[in-house]
Amino acid sequence: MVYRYTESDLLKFPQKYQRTPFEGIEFINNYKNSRRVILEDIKSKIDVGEISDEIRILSLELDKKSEGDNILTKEFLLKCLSQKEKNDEIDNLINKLLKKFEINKKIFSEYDFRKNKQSEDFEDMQNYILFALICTTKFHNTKNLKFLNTLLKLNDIICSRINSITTSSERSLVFHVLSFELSYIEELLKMKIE
Amino acid sequence: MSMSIGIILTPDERSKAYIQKILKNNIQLDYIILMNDHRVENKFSSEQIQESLNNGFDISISVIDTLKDRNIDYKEFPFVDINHPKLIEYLETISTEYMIFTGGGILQHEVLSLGIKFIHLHPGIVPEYRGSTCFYYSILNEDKAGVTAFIMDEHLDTGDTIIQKSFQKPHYKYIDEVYDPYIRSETLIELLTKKNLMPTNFVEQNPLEGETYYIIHPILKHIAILSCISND
Repeated sequence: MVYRYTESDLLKFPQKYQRTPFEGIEFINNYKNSRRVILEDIKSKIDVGEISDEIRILSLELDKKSEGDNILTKEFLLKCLSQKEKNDEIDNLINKLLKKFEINKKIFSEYDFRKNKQSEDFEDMQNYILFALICTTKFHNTKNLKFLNTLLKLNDIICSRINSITTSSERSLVFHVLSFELSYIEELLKMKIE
Repeated sequence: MSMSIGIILTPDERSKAYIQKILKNNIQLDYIILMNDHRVENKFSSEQIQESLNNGFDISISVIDTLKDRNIDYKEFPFVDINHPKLIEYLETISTEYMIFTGGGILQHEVLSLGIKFIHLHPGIVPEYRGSTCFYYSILNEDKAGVTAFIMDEHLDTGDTIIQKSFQKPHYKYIDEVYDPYIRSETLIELLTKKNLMPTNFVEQNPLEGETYYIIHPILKHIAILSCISND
């Protein structure tokens, strides 16, 4: 049995996760193996960098800024990741982005939350990786399962398109988000089952 | 003055539990509506059927069979859509104060403006658990689940609450098929038998408080279910 939720490109064939079947502990083991294969592959090909260094590299590469009410998703996500203090406005926008993602399982490059509009481009994998990183931080800080739930879905998308993620910075960050996710799941399993 | 109350059923496990328990408890309803899209009904294993029987309903009997077997008068529509114009047209012709709606989602303005109070049984204690598949989150967080009966409004799970009821997590794995219909139907029967439908007792919610959850990922769902059966 394989972990089927990353078998096809989830941006082309979005997964709704409605009434998914229960398949026992074997399902969890298959999920863990599937994630580990990707982690081992990344580790065998690159020197995994520190999160802060990779974020700095992605910030330097940013070539476009938000204008008017439009939020440039990547700029916003990078800003969230550099924010040290709690900021209600940013938290509110993260929740809005999370809701949008949960509805259509896509992250668009630009949003205008006031007009409830977004751009058409949703294939920039950096946005999924950065939002996954934010979800790990939010779950770590709050233990709110809403963030772990979204993290699992984001990572399913990332794993389903792993071959399109090529730069060392992106792959380093993928390594971190998958490692965090696995450790949170291990912890939850230990707490609830073992 | 006695109040008038009806129910809108759909061809699913939840409606099976609702109508079977309503009939078992001799509760009289003024209107019974069946939205029936003639979908292929789910098949259940003998273990699932037995578990549903242990919880006071028979998951293998369809809603329409229950209604026909008991010679119940009902109005049938060939769709499952609470906002459908044909349903609205019919609801405009009847006089009922309350309507229990077995489905979820958001009612559009046309339905809300009919003046009928639609009651939804949401499987989560609000405002802490709004949104989808809340019982799984609640089982993971607190080893229990809850149901809130509320009057539906134009937003998601923010209407005035009528009653709330907590349930221990089950010791079986059929959460979607049995436990969800069980906890909702038990709350419905309590609502209908204990004269809880008093607007003076309804509690207004603050829509800004609480948490909204989204459909649960299969990994979290598995951990929740395994936590239910792991102590057996």
